[in-house]
Amino acid sequence: MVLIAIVIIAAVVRSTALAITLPFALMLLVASVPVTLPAMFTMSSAMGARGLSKNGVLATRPSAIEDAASMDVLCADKTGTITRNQLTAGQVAPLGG
Amino acid sequence: MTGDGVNDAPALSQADVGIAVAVATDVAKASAGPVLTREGLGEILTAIKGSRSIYQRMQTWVLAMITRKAAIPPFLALALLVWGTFALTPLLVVLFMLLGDVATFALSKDNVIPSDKPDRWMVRSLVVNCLGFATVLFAFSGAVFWIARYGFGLSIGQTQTAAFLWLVFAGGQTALYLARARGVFWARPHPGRWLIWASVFDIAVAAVMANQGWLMTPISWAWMGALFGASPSSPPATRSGSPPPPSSTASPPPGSHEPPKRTTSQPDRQQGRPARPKERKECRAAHARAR
Repeated sequence: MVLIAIVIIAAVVRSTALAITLPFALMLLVASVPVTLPAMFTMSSAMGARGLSKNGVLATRPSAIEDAASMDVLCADKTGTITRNQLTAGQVAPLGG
Repeated sequence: MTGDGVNDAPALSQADVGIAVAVATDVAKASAGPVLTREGLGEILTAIKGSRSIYQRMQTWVLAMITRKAAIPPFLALALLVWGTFALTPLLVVLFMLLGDVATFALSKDNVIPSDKPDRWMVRSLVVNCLGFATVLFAFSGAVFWIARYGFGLSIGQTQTAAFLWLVFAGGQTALYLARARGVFWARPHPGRWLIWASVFDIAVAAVMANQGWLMTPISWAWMGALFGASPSSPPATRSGSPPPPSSTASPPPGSHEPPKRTTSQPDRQQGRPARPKERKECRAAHARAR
């Protein structure tokens, strides 16, 4: 954006033809927008999910496993308890490593 | 959060990652993200490793993409403001992006090593890395354009083709292989099959189009060889890599050893190292910071 502004100002100062400046501004815009971002992220997730589905993890949505990369606490439910919307640490048992 | 029963469903849907185990009720499975299909919780490890692999691939993509976005528009602007010409025609810009995307899509099947710590988007270190890469790419692109136009007096059309090829080779491929490296670029994990084929495809298409003059002014194979040879190296190699004078275009340039991608041949490596190792050191340092 800043570059486009600079180029346009320079064009005005040098009185370059608008027919040159406009395509160039457009070119800069095209070159600086990452148009493939959503496609690439979706594709990576989908490819990853496909690989994982063969290994016992089924993703219900492509984005489902994305967040697992930054997971640092895992809460596991013990069957038979009533899940309350509240976390309580009973005992800390370090496993080493 | 993992869960199995009906009462876990709200917690699963609220959690960052709601995981339903294999024997969970349908409500729990429906509100979960990943569903384990085997008994026990062991597959959570698989899920985390898979997710971190995906993260690594996305990180590579982001690195390569910011590098390109930070280097190429300034290069285009430089050519217009300083030399008063288009460094690339609009058609070539689009073509470059199209070819670049072939390779970046192949990244989604790339080999990666998942990190052993939870991943976070380290935006600052990503940007710092990218600006380092981008500065080098920008400087080289400017140098290639200048040398081709004024050093060898190519016509503007030929110079545009040369700049296009340079960007496909260096901006499209070299930057990608450097971005996917964690540490030195020849270290494991080696590039995936798809990535290598995509690069070969990109290079072949760009080279044939440039030679045949499809959508651009044709330039000789010798020029292409010189650009290709120079793309993994640094300024000394670019200069001594001797693009041939326009008159002797038929003979292959003496200094351009068509190296296989990213594995520079020995002479090039000796001449061409000064700039890149510094880059890589920065890269390593930033990755170390990221961990």
